[in-house]
Amino acid sequence: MGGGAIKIGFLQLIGCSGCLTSIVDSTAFRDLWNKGYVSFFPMLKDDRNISGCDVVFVEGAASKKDRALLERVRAEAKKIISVGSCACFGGISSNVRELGLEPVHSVVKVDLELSGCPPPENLTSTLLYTLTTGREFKYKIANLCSECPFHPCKAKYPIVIRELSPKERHEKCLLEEGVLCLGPVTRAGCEARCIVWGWSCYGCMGLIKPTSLVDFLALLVIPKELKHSVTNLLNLYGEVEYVS
Amino acid sequence: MSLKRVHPLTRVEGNAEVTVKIHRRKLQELELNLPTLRKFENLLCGKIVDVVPLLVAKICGVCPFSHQVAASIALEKALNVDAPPLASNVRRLILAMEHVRSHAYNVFLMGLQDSARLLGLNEKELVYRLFRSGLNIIRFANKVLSSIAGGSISPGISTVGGLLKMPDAGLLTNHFRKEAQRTLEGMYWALNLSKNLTASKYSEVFNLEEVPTLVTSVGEDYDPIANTLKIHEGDYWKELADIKGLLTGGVFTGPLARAVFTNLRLKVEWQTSNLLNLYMLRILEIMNALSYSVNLLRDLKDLKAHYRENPQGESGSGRCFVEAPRGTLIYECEVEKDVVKNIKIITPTEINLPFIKMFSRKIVEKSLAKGLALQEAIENLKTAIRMFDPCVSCATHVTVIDS
Repeated sequence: MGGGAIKIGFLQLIGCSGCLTSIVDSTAFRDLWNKGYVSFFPMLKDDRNISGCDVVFVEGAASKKDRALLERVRAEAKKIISVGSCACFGGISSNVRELGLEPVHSVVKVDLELSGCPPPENLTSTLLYTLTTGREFKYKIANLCSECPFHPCKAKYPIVIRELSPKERHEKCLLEEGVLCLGPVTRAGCEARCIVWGWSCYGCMGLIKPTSLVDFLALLVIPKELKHSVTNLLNLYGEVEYVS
Repeated sequence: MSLKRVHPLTRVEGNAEVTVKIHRRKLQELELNLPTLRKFENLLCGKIVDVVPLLVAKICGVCPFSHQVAASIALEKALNVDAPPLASNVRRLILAMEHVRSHAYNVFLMGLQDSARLLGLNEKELVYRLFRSGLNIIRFANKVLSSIAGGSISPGISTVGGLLKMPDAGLLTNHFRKEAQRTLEGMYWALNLSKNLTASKYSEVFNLEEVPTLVTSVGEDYDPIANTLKIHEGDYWKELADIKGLLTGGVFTGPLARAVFTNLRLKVEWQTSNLLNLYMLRILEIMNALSYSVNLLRDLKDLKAHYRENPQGESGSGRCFVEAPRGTLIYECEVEKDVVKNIKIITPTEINLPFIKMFSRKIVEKSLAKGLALQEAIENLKTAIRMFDPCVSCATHVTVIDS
């Protein structure tokens, strides 16, 4: 897929529209729009025909009703890119079991997953540029600590968890202060924006590797009264189903 | 029998489907179906209060901070704590910028083709200028939100008791003022253009025979967290303590209600009964939000940096009204030992839906009675839905409406 007249589609399943609006907000999108590459985008355009798109970005988790549509898109598009934690892992809404939501890759083959809630602007823009220039999109494989301003963690393992969220402004690693933070097992890319702005990391970018969460938990001491809440947070974005 | 299925309804946020059945140019049935509802309230029950403001920001990607601020305040009431004045003003600033961003999306991106159709704008250059204006306003709002809330959509800084972090208001002020002023000045031509919408040949179709019951929580001077709910009855406003009956139909919240309550700070002549004024009202709200923010920043400088209070209790119940871009957002919660026991979220879309459904029928009926072609009637219907409330994915527990 070189620099020719690529046709890009943006499909919305069950989500909050945040990932698509973050794409529209990105600097690269304006360029794509002006050059006429955006072929299907119901949020902004009336054209309702998704056929003929070379690349389809999918936002949101898939419900049973979406299966046929996704299969049709898979049959026609050269690339499907899941964008955001709902499309990649099922997302927050997948915790509501009765909805039966699942990640897009459970329904059809996905060529690339760009996680995040929403995905960081720098990654979105880079991805959009690579699509039109034919370059390869490289996704850094490192943990969030590599981007955290409070790195390195000086805590001695095992770490006793006392809080799930920072109670006050912090100037050092949250784990050092006994606050649950999934940074060590979460993929980098977001520049630790939640931690910088006073929250903890709950892993919206996804696990660095599937087994890393279990290994990490072995290093923590979680009091009995917090176990249920910690389990809730570990399962928040739907990537894992952790049972305490 | 003619059956028109519009799926998905384009240029709205979220997925929606409208089905219209017409027989001999008479409307038989109109169905407005919403996407799968995400039942967010179920997810929030059992969560520790500290994480709730972060989670509710995931309900809507267009208005995440309205949800975050509303949840923070409702939980503060439940836990018997008040956020410091500085924190409340930063929240107001965040909400004002969210209004700017959301309205710009609505008017200049999603609604642009509707305005062009209604105004008969054939000049591509003018339409493109409007589009560029929209993107510039969005870019400006995003820049400010990134400086004060960590990003345009996420993560936000509002939490129970105040803020997690104080943005650097000193750095922001000079830069913000200049840019806010420039953006404000750039809005006047779009405002003048939008005033012509009511002179459109379709104007009569969008005219309400009866103005719905208006509900708002906005305070004097456009305060988005004034926290009292008001209902417009006859010619006056009265405080509404009981929210029962709010979802039964004929109630409307959003820019129309806010404009009537605040009597428009930028004085403009307008007809309350014509829905084509909604874009003009949103442009006015962008302008108001910009000047409101500049005034807020003056106050921020004078306050000491105390921005978070610790909750006094661990259990209790609280309710909060916040003015989101689409209208009044209501949060009610019950907390037991710092864990959410019950939570109810009523979004503006949910309040507006019964009225939208009712008036959507009228739009089609009036268009057909006026002798317009079926396609034009359908276009008017789609325009009306986008104009009323183009945000359907944030509805949390609405049941599908059958005709």
